[in-house]
Amino acid sequence: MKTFRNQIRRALKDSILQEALQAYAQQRQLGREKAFASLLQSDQVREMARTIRLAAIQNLEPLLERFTTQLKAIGVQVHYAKDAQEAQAIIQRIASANRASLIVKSKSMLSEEIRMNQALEYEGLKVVETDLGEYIVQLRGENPSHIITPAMHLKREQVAETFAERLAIPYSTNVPDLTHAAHQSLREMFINAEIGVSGVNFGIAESGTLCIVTNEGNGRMVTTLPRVHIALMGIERLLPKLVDLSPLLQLLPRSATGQKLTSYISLLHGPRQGGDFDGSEERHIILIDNGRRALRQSNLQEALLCIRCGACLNVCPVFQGIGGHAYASPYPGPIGAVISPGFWGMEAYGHLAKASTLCGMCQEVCPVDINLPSMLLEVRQESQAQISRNLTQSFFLRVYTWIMTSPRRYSWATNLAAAVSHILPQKSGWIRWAPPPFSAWTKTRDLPRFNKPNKSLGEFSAKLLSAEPASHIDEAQKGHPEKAKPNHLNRIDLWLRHNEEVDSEVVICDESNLVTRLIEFVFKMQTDEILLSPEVAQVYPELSSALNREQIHLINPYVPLKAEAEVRTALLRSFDKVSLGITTANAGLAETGSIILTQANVPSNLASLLPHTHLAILRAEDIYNDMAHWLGTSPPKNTEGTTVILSGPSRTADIEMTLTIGVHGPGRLMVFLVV
Amino acid sequence: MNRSDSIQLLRTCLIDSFFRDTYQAVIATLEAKDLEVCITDGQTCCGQPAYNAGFWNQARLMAQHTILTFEARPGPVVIPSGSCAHMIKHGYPTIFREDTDWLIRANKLAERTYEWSEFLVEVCGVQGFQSSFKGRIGYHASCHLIRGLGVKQAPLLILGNSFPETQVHVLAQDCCGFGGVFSVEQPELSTAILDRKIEELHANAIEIVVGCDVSCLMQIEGRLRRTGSKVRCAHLAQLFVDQEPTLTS
Repeated sequence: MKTFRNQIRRALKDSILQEALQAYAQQRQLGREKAFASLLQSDQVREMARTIRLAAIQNLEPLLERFTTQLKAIGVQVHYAKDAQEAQAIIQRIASANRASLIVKSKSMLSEEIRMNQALEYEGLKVVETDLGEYIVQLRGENPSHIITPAMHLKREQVAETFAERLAIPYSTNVPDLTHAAHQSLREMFINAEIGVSGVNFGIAESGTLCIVTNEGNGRMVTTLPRVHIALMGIERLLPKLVDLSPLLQLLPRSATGQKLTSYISLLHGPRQGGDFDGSEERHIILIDNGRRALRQSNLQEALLCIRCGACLNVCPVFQGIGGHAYASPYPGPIGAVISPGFWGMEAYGHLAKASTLCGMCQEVCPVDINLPSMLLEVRQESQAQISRNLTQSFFLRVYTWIMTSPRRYSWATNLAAAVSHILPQKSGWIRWAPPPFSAWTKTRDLPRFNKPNKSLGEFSAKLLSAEPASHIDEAQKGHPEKAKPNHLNRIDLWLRHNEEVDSEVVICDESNLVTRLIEFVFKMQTDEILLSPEVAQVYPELSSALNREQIHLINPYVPLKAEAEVRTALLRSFDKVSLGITTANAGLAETGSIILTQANVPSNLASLLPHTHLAILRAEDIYNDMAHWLGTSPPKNTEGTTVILSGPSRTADIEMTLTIGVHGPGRLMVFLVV
Repeated sequence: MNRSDSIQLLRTCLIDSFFRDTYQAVIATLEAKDLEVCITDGQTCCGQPAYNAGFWNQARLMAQHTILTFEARPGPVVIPSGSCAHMIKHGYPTIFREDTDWLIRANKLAERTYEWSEFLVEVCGVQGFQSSFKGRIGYHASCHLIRGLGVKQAPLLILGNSFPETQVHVLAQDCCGFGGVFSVEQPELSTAILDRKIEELHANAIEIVVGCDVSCLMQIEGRLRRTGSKVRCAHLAQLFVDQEPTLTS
């Protein structure tokens, strides 16, 4: 508690941190509001999401069983860890069985929670964080300060210094330069790593699907390039059905980053299979408890609904004042002040709940409507009941209660307080100084005096001027005009409009001119090599023959199964040199301007992931209204490997919230729409 | 409400101890609708400070005292404080969740409890009042009122119908940093949050800050006075009586 208070004081005095926090909070709040404005009936969606999550937590054990059965059926190796130590040991075992020396990792707060990096580094392994923000804090030897934006506490100058020193690049505060430097240095890691580790946003019980939501593309990299993929998942992150993803994915990106959908939503099923051209050949999942079951049995159960969007951090006046590090937990902010003590005990983390004004902004923005103020009070109560260290406060509250439970004592005490308050140093009737513990107030604020005891309230009276409002108030002032409803747009128009928003480029063509337009584009790019996903040649044979005629080298991005590490690495490196990848897309989503690539139709992940430009061919009739329609009519089967929902190019805002396009995934997404 | 119906006023310990002008103004606005305002004998504190600090045993004792006090008469209980009303409507059912008898009594009290502006607008159908105040008004929507109780429109409606649009500025719905025990447990943080609110007041040339929670207003005015500002605070009711709207005790 003492150290927490000191951390708070230090944070308040740190002017760089204060500046970063202010700028961050404002942008995030605006982004969120804007994104929610585009969601019709957001209250209903929120209610639906809450109901789904609530049911998942209430039926946790049977759902976990179903999930595990499904995962095993599609070839995923399922591990269960009751705490951090067990989780560490499992990862170490997998690493040594695969003689791994380099592990690449995408964002996972759970890995922070189980201190995975430290445990693996202790065994001599190298673990590289690949999320830009995580990479920055790892290079600086710090911890993430926010669950979504790990380096939000830093200014670009600090990132520039770190990169200049650690990556041996010239000092530059240009954000795209910094991002490019990280891209360069991490690309080599992705290619060389034997194991990729990721978190899981949602596990789908009925199908064993792992849903991973990212923007930079590193999540796709770590689940595709290394031969072995390990997914870390908290046991509570379950959804019963695939269709449940629809409301949850309408809320998560909007709440987290102010996007309608993130650039990449991966739906992973099992390890690589027969027809797949690439992908992890071994897929593990570690289901981690680490305090979750205990929390489920407590009054804090509702906190398990959390989908880790970070919205409650962004609006919290306390978080805005002190940032994430002061909490000294992987989970800061209002949700952190509830789940940290809920998972790991009141003794170590109960004091965090005291750092709240209970203003309720957290609940107001929570996509699953967790009653965080009430949870914080539960923690305060529990923490007080278990460990009452604050003797002064305890004494005062007991005396206070003794006074307040008797009108006679109350009147006596207020008279005494009034007498005392009138002799304290004051100015214009307000107290300037009071002795401890009241000095905590008077140090920065004046305090009103108690009413003089000899004058009862009845001696004063105020008269109302008039019970009717003045006539100058215009009737028209009352009420608000109805918000204009968006015009009805058809699916294709809507899809096109949303593509503009997510910075993807669209070329509209028809069957007759598709090949010509495509060749024109390839010429303009001045490239003589293309990673060509195999289905393109099958669906559009005239295209591949035309490209062949133009002497353009079409590379088949096939990674042989069980290839030697050197062969695999060399092959990936050669693919990585190619600047254009072409695939088809088997569906589009109008609501978000997304395209969908399912591995049964698009066997190559690499063609849409490694090159700087990804070109996809989408047929207009394959555009669905939204995710719910697509999941309802054409859900990915769990035999279909990886499905990825793409919305625009790879992006990040990890450095000073500056949007930068192209981090790990393609910096350019072209869609040829065949109408 | 019919003419000459009676209501009980839970005056709150804060208003009782510090802010007699607020108290009188609240009564005057309620009496405007010919309501008989009873100041029930024996009232002290609703127990919120103990509840918020995690001392639920103590909170229960004060809650029981309050329930007993107001069980003496039937009819609506009106509270000129969003946070005290929130305590009775949401805090009491929580602290008595394992005590069926008291839970029933707590729920009965909660059902007939109203925050002041909510009661005037929703129950009495008040539109607004006349005011002689000509300065620029900043409305502070207190957290427990708008998010805790969900009373968002009533104060805005009273303000909107009583003043020209240009005279009233609705402040951002951010916390003032008070938070009860938080204000003395984390004074630095509380003041840092408060200073953002103060900045907003100055940026919008506010002359008086009004709201429906004197606890927030006490926090804001305490800082305004300490920093030498001339801006003052008052409960919304105080804009409608024949006295200078001020918290000064």
